[in-house]
Amino acid sequence: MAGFVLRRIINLIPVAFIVLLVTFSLIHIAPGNPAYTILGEQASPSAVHLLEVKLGLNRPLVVQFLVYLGHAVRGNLGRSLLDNQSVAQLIVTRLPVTLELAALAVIVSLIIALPAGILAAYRPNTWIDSLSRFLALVGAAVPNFWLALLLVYFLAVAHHWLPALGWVPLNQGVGSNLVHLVMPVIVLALPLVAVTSRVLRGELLEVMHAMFIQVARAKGARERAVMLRHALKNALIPVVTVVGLQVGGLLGGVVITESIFSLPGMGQLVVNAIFDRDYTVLQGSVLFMAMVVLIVNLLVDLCYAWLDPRIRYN
Amino acid sequence: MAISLADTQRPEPVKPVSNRVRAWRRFARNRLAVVGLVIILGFLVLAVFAPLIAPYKPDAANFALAFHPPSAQHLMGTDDLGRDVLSRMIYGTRSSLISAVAIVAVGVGIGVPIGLVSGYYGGLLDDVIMRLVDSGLAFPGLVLAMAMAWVLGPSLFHAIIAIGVVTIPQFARVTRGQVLEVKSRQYVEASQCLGASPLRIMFRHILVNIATPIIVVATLTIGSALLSVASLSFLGLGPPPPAPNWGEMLQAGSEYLTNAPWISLFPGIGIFLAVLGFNMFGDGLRDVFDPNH
Repeated sequence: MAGFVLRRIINLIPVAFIVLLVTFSLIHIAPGNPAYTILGEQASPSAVHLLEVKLGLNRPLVVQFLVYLGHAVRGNLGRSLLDNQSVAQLIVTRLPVTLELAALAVIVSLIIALPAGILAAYRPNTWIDSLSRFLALVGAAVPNFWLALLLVYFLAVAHHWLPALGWVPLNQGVGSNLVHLVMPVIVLALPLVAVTSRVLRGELLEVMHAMFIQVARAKGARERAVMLRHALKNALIPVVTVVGLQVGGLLGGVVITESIFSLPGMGQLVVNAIFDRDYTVLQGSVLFMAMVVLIVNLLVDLCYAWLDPRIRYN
Repeated sequence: MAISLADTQRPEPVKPVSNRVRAWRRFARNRLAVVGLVIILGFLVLAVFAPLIAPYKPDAANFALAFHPPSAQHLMGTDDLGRDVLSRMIYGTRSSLISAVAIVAVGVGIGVPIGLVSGYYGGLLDDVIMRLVDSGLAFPGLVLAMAMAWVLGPSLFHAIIAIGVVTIPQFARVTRGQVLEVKSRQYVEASQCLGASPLRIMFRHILVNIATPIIVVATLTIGSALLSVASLSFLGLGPPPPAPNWGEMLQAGSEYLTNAPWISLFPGIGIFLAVLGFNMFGDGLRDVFDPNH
C-alpha cells in the first residue's frame, strides 16, 4: 500500500506542473499585450506600465514562469489588483462557505441517490426504475442557474418560505445558517443525484451476476438481504470514484449558485474577479480549484485501493 | 414469356437483415431515444426556419409593449424592451445549436487524433499525453472556460473556443481507451503486415471501428455544451446583446423575476428541453450500440 501511495503522489507532480503551466499561460492566450487584456483596450499607457511592473510582465516569459512557479509552490498566489490583498488569504477566508455548501450538497445527494439507485436495481425495468431514470435525465438537463431562479421565485418571492439570498455564519446560529443553504444545496445536489443513482443502479445490476451472489441466494438469503448485505458493498466502490469525479462539476456549480444566492464563498470570489477585471484573483482561484480536484481524486484513488486490494497490485 | 425455369423454381430467399437495420430497430424500440431524436429535430426545424416560424422580429423593441404577460398576441409575453420572447427564443435556437455543435467539433477534432496517436504509439509519448490529459481534467471545466472566455473577451466565437478546448481531454481519453482495446486485433495486424502507414491504420482502420463510443460521448457532450454556453452567457461571458441567446435572455430576465417571471422562465425551458433531447438521444445510442452497458 505504501508503494502504491508513493507512486500515486509521484504521478501527481508532472500533472500539477502542467496545471501551473496552464494557469500561467492563461493571460497569454489572448493576442497582444497582457496588460491591455487585463485593463481593457482603453487603459492609459501609464496604468499599463504600472501593471507590467507590478506583475513582472515586462520580464522574459521564462523568468515570469519561474517566478510564478516559485511563488505558487510556496502558496503565494499574488495580490489582488483591486485592493492589494493576498489572493491566498482571500481564498482561505472564503473557503469555509464553499466547503460547507459542497459537503452538504454531496451528503444530501447521497441520501437521495443511494435509496434511488438501490430501488431501481432491486426492481429493474419496472416503473420505479423508469421513474428514477427519468428523474436522472431531468436532473442532468436542468440548467442550475435557472433552477436557482425558479426556487427563489417560488420559495422566497411568492411564498416567503425561505430567505432569498445571503449567508449567516455558523457561529450566529446553525438554524439560520442551514435555512440559507437549503436552496443552494438543492441546486447543487440535483445533478449529483442524477449521476450517482444511475451509476449505483448499473453497478448493482452487474454485481448481482457474480458467483458470490449465487452462493448467498443458494444458502437461502432473502433477495433484499442479498442486495443490501452482499451486493451493495461491492457496488459502492465505483460509486466512490464517481462522486470524486463530480468534484470538478460541483465547483463549476458552486460558482453559479454562490453568485445567484450571494454566498460569500470561492465561487462568488471568481465571479466578482471576472466583473472587477481582477486577473490575479481569477488566476489564483482557478489554480486553487484545479489543485483541489487533483487532491480529491488522489484521495479517492487511495480510498479505492484501500477498499479493493486488487487495485494496488495492478 | 421469358421466365426461365431456374428462376421460378428457386425458393424465395430469406432477406438477410443488415446490421444497420437491426440497430435501427433496436433504436426505434427505445422510447426515450426516439423522444430525444424528435426533440432534437424539432429544435433543428426551429433553427433553420426561424424567420418563417417566429411571429415577430427578434430585436424589434417597442417600449409601449414592455413586460406584457403571455397572451394570444405574445404567447410567451414580452421582455423589458417590449421584444417578443417567443420570437427571441426561436432565433436563440440558432446560436445555441451552432455553438454546441461547434464546441463538440473542437473537442472531437483535436481530442480524437490525440487519443488515436497516444493509444496507437504508446510508450513515452502516451505517458506525456496522458499526463497532459490528466491535468486538463483537473480543471473544473466551467471555471476554466470562464477564465478563458474572460481573457479572450465576450463573443460567441470565444465562448466556443473556451468550452471546446475544455472538452478535448475527455475525447482524447475515451479515444485512447478504445484504441488500446482494438489495436491488437487481427485486422490491425493484417494491415500492418501489408505495409499500411500508421496514419492510414489509425484513421481508416481503427477510427471507423471505434467510432460508435465516440459518437455517444459526442452526443452527450452536446447536451453539456449547451449548458456551459448558457452558463457563460448567464455570467455575461457569451455573445454580447442584442443577438438573441437563451442564457443571456435568462440572465436579463432574472432582474424582473418578481413582476415578469416569464422572461426568464421560457428560455430556461428551452435550454432544459434541448439538453434533455441530446442526453436522451445519447443514452439511447449507447443502449443500441452497447447493450451490455
